[in-house]
Amino acid sequence: MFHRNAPNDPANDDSLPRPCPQMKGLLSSLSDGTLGGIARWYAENHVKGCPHCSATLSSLRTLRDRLRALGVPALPEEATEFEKPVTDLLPAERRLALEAALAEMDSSAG
Amino acid sequence: MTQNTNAGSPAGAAAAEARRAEMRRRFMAIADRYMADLLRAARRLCGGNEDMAHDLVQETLLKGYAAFIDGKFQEGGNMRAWLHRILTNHFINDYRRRTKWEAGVTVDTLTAGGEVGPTSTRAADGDVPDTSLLARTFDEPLEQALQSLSEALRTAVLLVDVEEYSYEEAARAMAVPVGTIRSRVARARYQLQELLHAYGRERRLV
Repeated sequence: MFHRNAPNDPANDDSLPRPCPQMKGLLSSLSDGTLGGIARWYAENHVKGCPHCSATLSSLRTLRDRLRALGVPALPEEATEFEKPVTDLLPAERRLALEAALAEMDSSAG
Repeated sequence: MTQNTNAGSPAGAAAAEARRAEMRRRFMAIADRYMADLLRAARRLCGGNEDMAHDLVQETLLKGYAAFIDGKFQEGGNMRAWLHRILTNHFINDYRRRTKWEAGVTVDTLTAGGEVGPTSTRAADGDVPDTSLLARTFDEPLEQALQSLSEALRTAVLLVDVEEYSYEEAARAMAVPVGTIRSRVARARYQLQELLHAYGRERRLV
């Protein structure tokens, strides 16, 4: 069953796609590949016939790619400490405290 | 490594200290290499609280160093992944101390009987985005949207979608049922969609 509160094709509309209410959890699991069995079959079949859920699924997959990209490591740093943005460094006092704590660990470890 | 010094002698003590100083130097060089990554991950987990993020990175590096000098991690291995795990685990332990979840908290659990899947959410080989293009991306709208989420939703989606924990691993880490994690991740994703969509519309209207 498809909901009918937005009669236009979502592709022609810049409002956020609204999935059918009963599909929200299923689409989330479908988007990350963890939906299996009959639930997957049901969801995939539903998506084929429902432009709203199809658009939502596509949007969830794009979002997941963006989130995963956040976890991708930065390329090896070539910049010197002076060239790095300050947000990429521990503040100086924090760094000194850290180095002192490491030295303390060493001395207490004997 | 040569052990030709007498540990009890002043010369032996000096040599031992020199070795430790060299270990610290090597460890800090590794830490510096991943500092930007660690700070970014810490800021996300801490919802942009800079002090808390700095504390988290400091604690991570202290724990990391303790393991490093114990020989539990060898240089050349995946140091970044190792440090990230320490950071995430430390955050979660702290989070669990700070947060008491009541049994029976409203959970939008997924009830479909067939909802079983692989034990990991890690993507198949063919499903990997072009990371070389994305490697230096700083996705400001997404970072801001993440900070707008509640801590419970943010932590769940960061573990599963950014750090790529399986649902089961995230559930164990946060000491909640798998259904709760699934529900939180789904809610977080929909909230992020709303926030990003609103951001996009705002930008187009300006």
